[in-house]
Amino acid sequence: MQDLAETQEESAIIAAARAGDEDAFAKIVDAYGRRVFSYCWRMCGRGAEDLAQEVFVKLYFALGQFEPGRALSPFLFRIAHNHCLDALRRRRVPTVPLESDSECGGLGARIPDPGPTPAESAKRSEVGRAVDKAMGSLPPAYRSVLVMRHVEGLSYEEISEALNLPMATVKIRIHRGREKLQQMLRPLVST
Amino acid sequence: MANACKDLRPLIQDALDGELAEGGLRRLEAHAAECRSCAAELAAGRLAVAALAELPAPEPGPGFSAAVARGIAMAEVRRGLARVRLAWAAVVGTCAISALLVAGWRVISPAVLAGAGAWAWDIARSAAPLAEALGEAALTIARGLVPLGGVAAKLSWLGLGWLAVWYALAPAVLLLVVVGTRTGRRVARCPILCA
Repeated sequence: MQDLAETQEESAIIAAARAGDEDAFAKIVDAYGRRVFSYCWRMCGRGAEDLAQEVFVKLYFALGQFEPGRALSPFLFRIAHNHCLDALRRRRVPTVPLESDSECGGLGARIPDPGPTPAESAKRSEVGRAVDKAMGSLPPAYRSVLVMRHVEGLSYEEISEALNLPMATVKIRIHRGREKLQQMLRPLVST
Repeated sequence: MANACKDLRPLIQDALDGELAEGGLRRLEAHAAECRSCAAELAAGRLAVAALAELPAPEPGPGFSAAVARGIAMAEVRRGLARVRLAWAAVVGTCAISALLVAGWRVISPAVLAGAGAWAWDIARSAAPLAEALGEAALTIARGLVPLGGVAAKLSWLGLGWLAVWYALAPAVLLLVVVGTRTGRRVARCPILCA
């Protein structure tokens, strides 16, 4: 899966998809599928693949409302975010650490190895587990902005557009979410 | 040290955002070199940011794109069915309402119209005596008020007359009083009378 450069090529592909070109829409799914799935996974855990598919179905029918010439990622993440919040409300999914998810149908097996995982990265994996656990215990409002900012690499402007929130609110949420993570990670720093 | 912590700790989040100017970053790092608490805070923040960036990226299953295409096809079918259902509901609803209107007009309307007309006539007829009684009462009151009106008018004319007389006579009376007083004084000062 390759990322679409947010350029004229992306605009052309989106325009074709809007006109009903299924191949163009498939390119969008290929380009953004992993990111949307990752976001749903970080937000909801189990059922992330179904949620991500539903996000793309919603995108397909919402492309008519998309303003041509703009970046697709904020629009797509807005759909994904709203869909995840709906799912959390509908299922009353508690904010559980992702590592404790056992009903995801072997999803863990599909998570690629982040790199060398021998003894050298024991500390790193310990931190990773701690961050995973801490992220799972954060309220969705903080989790969503942290995932968008630090996992998906969206800019503040894009997050603000995706969540339909003022930039100042986005910054405050990111700062507070990060402070909560810092508090949880401090024991690891002092060791 | 406590003041420095208070001043510099808010900068940690800006530093983690990469939005802190070089001077501020140098001050923060210099302070962190001396303050264990702020150093731990900064290190935990950097660790959190780095760990978030390095979180393993889960991949969707191999049939993801195909599943999305199937989902779109199914959604289109559902939408089509919903549209058909809506169209049928509109047709059936329109027919039912039309049938009801026609049936109502043909079966119910003569009786309803006759009943409504009789009802209105009854109301008018029963209201007529009441209206007549009210009219009579108003006329009686008006008649009773006429003499009172005459008296009031007469009294008012009388009052006006008295006022006119009073205002006409008042200057003359005042003049008479003034002249009489002065004359009395002169008479009192007369030598013949005083001798």
